Amino acid sequence: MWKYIIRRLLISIPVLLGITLVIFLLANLMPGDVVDFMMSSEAPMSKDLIPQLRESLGLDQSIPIRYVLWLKELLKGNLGYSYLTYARVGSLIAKRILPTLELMGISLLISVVVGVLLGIITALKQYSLLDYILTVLGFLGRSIPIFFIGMLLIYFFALRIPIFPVAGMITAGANRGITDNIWHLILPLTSLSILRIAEFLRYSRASMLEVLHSDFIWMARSKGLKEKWVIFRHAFGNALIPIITLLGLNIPVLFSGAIIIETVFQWPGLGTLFIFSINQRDYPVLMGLSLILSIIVLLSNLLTDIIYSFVDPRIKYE
Amino acid sequence: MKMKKSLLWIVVVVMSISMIAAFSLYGCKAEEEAAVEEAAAEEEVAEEVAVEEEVAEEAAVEQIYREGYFAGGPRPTFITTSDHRLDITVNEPLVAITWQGGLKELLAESYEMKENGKVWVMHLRKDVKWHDGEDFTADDVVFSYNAYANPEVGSIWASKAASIKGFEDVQNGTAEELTGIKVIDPYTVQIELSNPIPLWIRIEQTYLVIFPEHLLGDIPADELLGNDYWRNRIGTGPFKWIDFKEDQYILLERNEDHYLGAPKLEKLIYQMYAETTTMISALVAGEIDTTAYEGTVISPQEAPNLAEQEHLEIVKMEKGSPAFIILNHDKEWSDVRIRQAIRYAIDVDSMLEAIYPGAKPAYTLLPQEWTHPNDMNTYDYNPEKAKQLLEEAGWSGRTVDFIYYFGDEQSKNLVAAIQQYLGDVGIDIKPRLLEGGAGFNTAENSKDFDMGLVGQGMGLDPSGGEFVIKTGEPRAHGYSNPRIDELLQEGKLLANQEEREPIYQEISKIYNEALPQVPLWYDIRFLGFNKRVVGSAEHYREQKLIYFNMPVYNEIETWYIAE
Repeated sequence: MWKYIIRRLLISIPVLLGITLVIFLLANLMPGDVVDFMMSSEAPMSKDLIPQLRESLGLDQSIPIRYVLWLKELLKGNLGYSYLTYARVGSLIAKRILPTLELMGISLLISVVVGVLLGIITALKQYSLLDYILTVLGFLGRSIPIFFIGMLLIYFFALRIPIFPVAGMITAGANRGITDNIWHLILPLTSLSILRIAEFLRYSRASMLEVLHSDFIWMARSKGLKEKWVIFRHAFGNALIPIITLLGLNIPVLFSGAIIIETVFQWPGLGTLFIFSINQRDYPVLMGLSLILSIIVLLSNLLTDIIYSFVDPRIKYE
Repeated sequence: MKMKKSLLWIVVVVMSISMIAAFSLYGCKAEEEAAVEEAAAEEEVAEEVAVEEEVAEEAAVEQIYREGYFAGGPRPTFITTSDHRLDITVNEPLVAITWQGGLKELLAESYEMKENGKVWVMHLRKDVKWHDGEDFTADDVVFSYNAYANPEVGSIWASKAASIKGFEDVQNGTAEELTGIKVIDPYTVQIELSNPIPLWIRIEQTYLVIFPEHLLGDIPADELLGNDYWRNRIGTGPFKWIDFKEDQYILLERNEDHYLGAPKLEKLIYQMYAETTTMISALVAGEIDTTAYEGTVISPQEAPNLAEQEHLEIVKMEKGSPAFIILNHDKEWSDVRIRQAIRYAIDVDSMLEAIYPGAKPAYTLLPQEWTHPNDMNTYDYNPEKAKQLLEEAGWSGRTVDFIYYFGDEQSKNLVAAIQQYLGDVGIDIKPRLLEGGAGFNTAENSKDFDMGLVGQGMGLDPSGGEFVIKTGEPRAHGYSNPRIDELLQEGKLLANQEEREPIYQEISKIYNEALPQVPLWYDIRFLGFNKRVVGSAEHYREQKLIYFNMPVYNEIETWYIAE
């Protein structure tokens, strides 16, 4: 097992390099760069300034050279500085991890617990009224675009009936601690969770149904075991296996943040940082974020595979 | 199986706990910060009781003013466009433009103009302190002006210091400082220009903001923009920077010792939003009191709906920027008849009525009304004439690459209408929506276009139009008219509006006939205000024209919240 883990880790390094190279190339292929962005069409500006700015940011060098320079700095532990705000990339990211984790983490927790629970219930009560209602609701939850849900919630629960705040994470100038934070959290959390509950519901329902119809369950029932014992002891565990995969896939999302929801609700997380760095061609920030995310994806894939082998004895790694 | 299952549960439980731990750690930190701030706030409350006794009625109402602000900022003044709010609330220039278009002496209590505008003597206020207690002196002025000019700092506003003697030397590295700036004594600075410009104090000086030499003077020039100062400014203005949460808000508090008197507002919060719809919702919900000043937030379609809200007032401002079609003069547009045909072919009045109500049609470049002669050609909609002109000029009938960058509904409709009108007379355009900023500017600067639709802020003064029509300027795109160049130069050297009127009117007339670009309409912008703020809407109503990219003095120290 350990050999397997080490092998996986070793392979990850060239994969990581490859990912950063591809992202760097793609980002630079986009037309325009940060200097073009800085020059607003609404501000008269001297054209001599453009090459000057480019030079000071190092943008006049060729793409391979810039990539190698970035790599060099990286090996020294320096993620670079934002082209636009000149802040350290590392600190930009660090400031926003907690808000994103908060939003995504709680959303994931709620979605898993509620989604799986509902999924199993509907599987047990297949073809009942509850099953139909939840299936339809799940379908709606997956189909409605997430920003629309967000804006609907803002309209109804922040404007029409002013219970919740429109946006933001805390009320400025009037810090009221945790309760204020939770109050701001509810609308974005709901928007996010609707989609993900639907997702987990669907998977766990399908998985549970499949398990319930398998041979060994039929065997357990014919042995005379109590129904509760059959469900919780035998069926449930096996049904959870695909859920683990889903959870594993969702870990990177914990960190990448829901870009759309964060933008709509002005939640200061990694998602908004991502979209800004792309729009503004802020390569250092973009590369820093991509690097960290890639590491998280690779690690969480590895973690998922390992947990898998514990949970399912049929899977063995050499 | 039992062993493996419990391992799984352990992992799940550990993950959940770590998430909850992270959350509560953050929450604890927030509570800690809240406790510290409350303690600090309580101290201030005791001090403020004295001030608030003057405004007894308002003491009952929280004097907190919230302004909408675009996320992604704040950026250093030297490189920021369309965002100079902090440069009048926290920092200040020597003399600022006022909301009425006049001048207000701020850090300079008076100034003298000598040699018809070649030499300026600025007498600085003597009792001003920076927010950290240090004295404000002439050193700060020298430092700031040199920083604007220094190519290693890389300010995009260097052009505003370009008239000062010694600018070229600083730009090409042969000098470290502008020779034109001399310190006469700690509270007097003399600024000598390369040429006499009687309006310099108004058209260039008003853009230059003063920064603290004692904090920034020792920082290497190329690291100036990266310094943490920009995330925690120390200034001389009516409000002090207290707190900044990335992508959330900037919190300012009143500066008791400001030389114009302590502001009535206790706190000023710039609340950040990335989405304009969210900002508008916040305005309606009362979470902010005004929308962002220099950005497009409220569209002309939304404005009437918002105006119906009882607690809101919507003010229509002229953006001071014409929208015009730029033509790449390296391609086939050199025949003036073709350019005129374009203008005749578009029915601007109907288009505006249907799609952009409130905007006025434009017949020439400069937006200021006093620059418009009475006898301009209004190019009334005449497709037949357009076709005739095109035939005379031998228009090839080729397809034209047309770029634009405003992706909102209204702009798309406007472009679609233009396409229709031009198509009717035989000019077949293929519109290409480019990403604003990077995409569009790249295409424009590398001349990778045929025609395009842009809006260009002319700034406060018609001399700002230089950028668009002077020979060799980027936005002239190859057009050159020596007579216009002459007139532009003359106009800058005259002092008062009466003398300048004929010059700019002649420019407008030439432009109106030659149409180096095709002006279509003058853009408008809507600002939203919550009526409970006394002072904001009143000043903007009087201002009427948005002055871009400069700090505008509008007596914010007198504003207050009534209820």
